[in-house]
Amino acid sequence: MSDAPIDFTVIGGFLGSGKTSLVNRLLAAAGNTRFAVLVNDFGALNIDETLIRHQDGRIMQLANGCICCSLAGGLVDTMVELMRYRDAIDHILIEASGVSYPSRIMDFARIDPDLRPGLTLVLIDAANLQNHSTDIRLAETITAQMESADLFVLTKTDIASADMAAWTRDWVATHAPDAPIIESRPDDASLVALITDPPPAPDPTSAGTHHHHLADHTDLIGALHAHFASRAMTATKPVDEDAFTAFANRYSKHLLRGKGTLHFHRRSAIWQQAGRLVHLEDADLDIDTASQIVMISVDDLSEAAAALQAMGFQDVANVPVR
Amino acid sequence: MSEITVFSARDVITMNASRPHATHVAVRDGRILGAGSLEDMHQWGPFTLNDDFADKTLVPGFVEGHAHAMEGGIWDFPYIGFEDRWDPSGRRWEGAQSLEAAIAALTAAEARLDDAETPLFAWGFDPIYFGEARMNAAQLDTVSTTRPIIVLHSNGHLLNVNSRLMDMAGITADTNVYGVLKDDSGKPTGELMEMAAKYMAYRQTGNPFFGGIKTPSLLRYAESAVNCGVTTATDLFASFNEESLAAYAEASKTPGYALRLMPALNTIEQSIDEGIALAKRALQDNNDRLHHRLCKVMTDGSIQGFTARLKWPGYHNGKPNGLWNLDPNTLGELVLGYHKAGLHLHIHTNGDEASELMLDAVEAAQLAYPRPDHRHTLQHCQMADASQFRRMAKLGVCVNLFANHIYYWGDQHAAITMGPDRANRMDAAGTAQREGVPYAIHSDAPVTPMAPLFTAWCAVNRQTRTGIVLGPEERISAEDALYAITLGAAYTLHMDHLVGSIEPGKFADFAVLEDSPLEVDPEAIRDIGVWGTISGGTPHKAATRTG
Repeated sequence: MSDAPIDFTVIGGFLGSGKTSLVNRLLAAAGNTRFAVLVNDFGALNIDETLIRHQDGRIMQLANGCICCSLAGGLVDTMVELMRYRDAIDHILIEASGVSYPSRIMDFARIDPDLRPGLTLVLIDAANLQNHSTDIRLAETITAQMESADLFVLTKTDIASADMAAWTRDWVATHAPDAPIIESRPDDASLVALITDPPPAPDPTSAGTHHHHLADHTDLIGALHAHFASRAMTATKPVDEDAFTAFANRYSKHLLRGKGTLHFHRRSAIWQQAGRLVHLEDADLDIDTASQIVMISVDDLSEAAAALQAMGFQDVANVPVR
Repeated sequence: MSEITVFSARDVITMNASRPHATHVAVRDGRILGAGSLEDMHQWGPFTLNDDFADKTLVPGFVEGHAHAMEGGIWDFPYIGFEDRWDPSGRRWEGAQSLEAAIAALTAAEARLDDAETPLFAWGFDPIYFGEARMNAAQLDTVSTTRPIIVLHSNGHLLNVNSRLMDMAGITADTNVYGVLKDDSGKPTGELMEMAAKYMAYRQTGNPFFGGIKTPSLLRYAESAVNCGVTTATDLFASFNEESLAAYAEASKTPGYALRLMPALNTIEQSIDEGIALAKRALQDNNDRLHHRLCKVMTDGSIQGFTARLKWPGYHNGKPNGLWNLDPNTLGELVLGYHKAGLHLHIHTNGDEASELMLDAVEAAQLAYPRPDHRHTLQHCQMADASQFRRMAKLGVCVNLFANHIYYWGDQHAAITMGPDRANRMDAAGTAQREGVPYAIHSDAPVTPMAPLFTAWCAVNRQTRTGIVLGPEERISAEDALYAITLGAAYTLHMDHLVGSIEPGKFADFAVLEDSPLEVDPEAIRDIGVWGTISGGTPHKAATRTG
């Protein structure tokens, strides 16, 4: 039985914003990550039948180790059912219905120690947000959804007129001034790279035994940089815990992801940050291990890097570490 | 030729306009040959006269257009609601009229469990009547510290749990998640709301109320129906998985099954195409006692839970508007798909914005695929205004109003959710009548007890629990109320050619009453005794009430 918590990601957004395309791409690119995706409609996933190993009503097992679950029975009972298979799952991905509130869904990961809160992505259909947000039946729901996103992805900007796309960007920025916005296809590899935990750098001393392929890894990092900046840093001397915690909180809105192993003066810890949630948990690390972290953001990371340099960190050449 | 039985009665109220009253009714092969005088009965040849009900009133068997078969199975768990209730076997579950009484009832239920760790579930708890007092974990800890306890509130939105459950779930003062309520000192009180907190509770115990229906529940559901004079009832939100479908078929074929059962497919459990295929395949199972064809759509939430979708000016206390169950466009596609497929939709709409959305959807579906006599029915439809009733009439839409709400939550609606003005028009049977909308009234059992005479009493008197008359203009006559729980409800289910009145050719389904609902004081309709039912010509006596 694995004690490592299961990553938990929420993909929100209205009908037609591209959630299903993103889920499909993630399932195809899962690699060694065993995703459990919870979706409203199996049919829309368009999964090659030859890849379905087993289907039983609301649950479908795929040959690559992933699981698809129908949310028809409701999120509460579906999650209760799913967590009976927790040892077979690395990462849970919820495709939130267009009228649900993603933050209420992320609460599942905030309350259950077996889950680790990850990112809340909200996809916005740039061609239709104006219609939706001015529809009295939808306006409140859309506005409420704006409150909980860590990242907005404007999709269909190729279909939307330039004016419409600009209007959409302004509207999102007005309603969610803190959250970053990117324009992207919903199934862009950079989103896959952001959601999928980038694999660790290959350790040259154990080459051949590592189960990740260098090519995959390089591809993922390359894909990530299409939309995001990342920075890997290391510190050989113990880090001041208070200073680091202050840093993590200060940059919590700025960093989409942050993670790493930290060597403080009195303890070692694993840092996990997704969206605005800062998470530091005790770790049992070798006393000589250097602190190693990686950060991902939409924006330039030089200011954050400067803050870390003041704490004794220095850049590692573009290599993220676990 | 099969034998003829003639039942005599003090009065037979037929709901057949061409012969409204009779003293005798003749039955052969489970169907009605005719109603009339004793002399009239001889025209059919020799018969056996059954005088068992000579001093009683026979009316058409009641039709409950909106209830759930869970009413049969939920009694496996202790009931701790405010008012007395009787389970299908007739056992009285005493109402818990104070927090102390609720705890005492739980303590008694706890004593009936064998080992020390089995979870204890209870349902029906309704602290809305206790003022500021709330149940907390410390109180539940006096019931048990070794087994997890989960108490479901009657509104369906809240749970109370004990410390044992919170320990298992890791819920502490450090848990900062919306829905975990805390006291002034920051400790969790054991009251949980919203999905995440409920998930954490059920993750420890499993959710015994989840999953498809099973045959024993359906058998007990029929017992519950007999007790209140119901001979046709829906199970209006059903999973059509293999197990459930087999259970419906099995129960309906059980000798002596006293109910005509109408499950309604939950349309959101599968894609539209799959749902339509499932609903059509289920038609093959139909028999005299099982009538598949209904499909259920959930549009919004509940008014007392502040999740119903309201038009301007929204909730009286300023709470934000409620929640759509699905994207409004998807809801429209559901209506269109099932309408086109020739299926019969029963559409949950509590708030007036939800009703409006679904009227728009039916209108669009009718324009695209005109279907005379579709009888799609808005269920609950508690907030509709007169303009919406006029649209229903034009569109051929029926309505099934939640009349019991007026008694159980009418005071809260007037004070908190709707305010006095809009509360007056809740469950507006009078408007439905005036605007010519075919309507029924219902209990939504087990949310409120299944008892059509009580439901009729609610629609006739519109009295809240505190005795206020809510919207006197929306009251209907006893005759209209009796129609609403018989032929009116049968019409909304497309069953009025088979049940709902005492007419030649229809199933011999009667409610056997101690008094006539048309003769007693309107305020006494709810007190009329129910001897039981006659279903397909066979008498079924109601369970003797005990306890």
